[in-house]
Amino acid sequence: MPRTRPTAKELVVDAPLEWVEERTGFVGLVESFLFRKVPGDTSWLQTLGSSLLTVFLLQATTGVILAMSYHPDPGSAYESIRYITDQETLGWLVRGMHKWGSSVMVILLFLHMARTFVFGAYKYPRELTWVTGGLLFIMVMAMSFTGYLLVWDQRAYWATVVGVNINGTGPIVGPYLANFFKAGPVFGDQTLSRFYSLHMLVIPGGIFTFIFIHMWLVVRLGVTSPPWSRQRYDEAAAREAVESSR
Amino acid sequence: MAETPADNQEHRTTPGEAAAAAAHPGSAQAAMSRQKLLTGATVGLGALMSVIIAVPVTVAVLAPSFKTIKEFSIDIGPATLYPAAKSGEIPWHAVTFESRPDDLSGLSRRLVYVRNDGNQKFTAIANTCMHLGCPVQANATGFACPCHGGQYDSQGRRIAGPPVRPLNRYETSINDKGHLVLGQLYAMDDSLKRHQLKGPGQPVDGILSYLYPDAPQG
Repeated sequence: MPRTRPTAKELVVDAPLEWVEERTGFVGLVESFLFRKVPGDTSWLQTLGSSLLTVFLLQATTGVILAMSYHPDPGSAYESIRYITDQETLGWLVRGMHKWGSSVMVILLFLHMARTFVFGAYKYPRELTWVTGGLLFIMVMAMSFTGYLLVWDQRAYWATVVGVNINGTGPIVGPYLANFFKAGPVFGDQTLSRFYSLHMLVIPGGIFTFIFIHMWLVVRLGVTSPPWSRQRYDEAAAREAVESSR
Repeated sequence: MAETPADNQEHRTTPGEAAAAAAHPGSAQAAMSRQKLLTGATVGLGALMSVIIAVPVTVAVLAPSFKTIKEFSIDIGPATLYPAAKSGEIPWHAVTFESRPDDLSGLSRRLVYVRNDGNQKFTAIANTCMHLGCPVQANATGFACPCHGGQYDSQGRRIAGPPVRPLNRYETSINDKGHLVLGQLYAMDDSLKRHQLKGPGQPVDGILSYLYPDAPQG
């Protein structure tokens, strides 16, 4: 067979991808993640999870940019927020995306959870997907709570005083939990840096970890049909599919 | 990955095999027990290192939960600054002060309502609402909280809204310069009996008070 010259696509796209695939297996991994089989009656309702992932990545990206200019110090936190909003190039936009993105994330989270519940998608074999989702829900709530204080205006301060004291009314552990948040028995300068550390390091680390586990389970177990699906559900075949994927 | 024969075998050693392994170093049994030793060492050392890292980290993170409140005596100036009110006036003098003299951030600034009860006796009521800690304001009948509508009478006892107990008070005394001095902050119950301080929203008397360990004080 005569050797033909490689086409431009082969040269620019296929060959580098093949080189990477041979050494890492990443291409196959990405393909098996993106080109999964889903039920024929999958609808827009099943896109809430990927929307959430997108908003989380938006929050993470804008959060990193905000952290470059924010001072977690009681004396200068509010001024640094003002600097971001009024002086920094497009700072108002980045802060606005982070602020509104947080509300969008909570709203999408409730919709995503409601969809899963109504579809019965938490049932066998997806119980752990639901449980990891529940943990993610708690972590997103904790993000909202810790992020609110960082603006360090009167509303942020008093809302957080109230929030911490609500934690304090929990029986037995409540007072200790409140002191944990305050980093001591009273609100002090350690409180702001503790909230900052929880907001930008501790909880995001947990969210990244659990999103990975959550999505691993989604890919492994597949997507559920809606309850009104006309496609017959063959439990034996479904179990077999789970078995064979091991 | 090519599997070595040992990979496929059950890693269980009988006493006889162990003896054989000791007798014949380099044999299959000896290799297996070496593998077990290295597995155990890896897991054990990993666990040990995790504990060595986790213990100080956990202690450092949780220690503030058990920190005590440092109390300072606060001199709020000559007692003559706080005259008794004429009838019809709001009897409270609003006084701001730094509860920790070493803290310059403004976060330790507190507001206390001082009333001259006559005969060199003073009542000092903290402005922290006993619902969830918002600042209350004095008015003609007592105190009111802007956050969730808590109302208190002129002794700081709850008359309406969600607060669970009366407002906290400071000990008051007059020092040798004739200045009014605020001492320890303490909690009150409805019969105006003094109690150990607890956080806002936490009852100090009745069955529910057992659910809230007293805030440790130093």
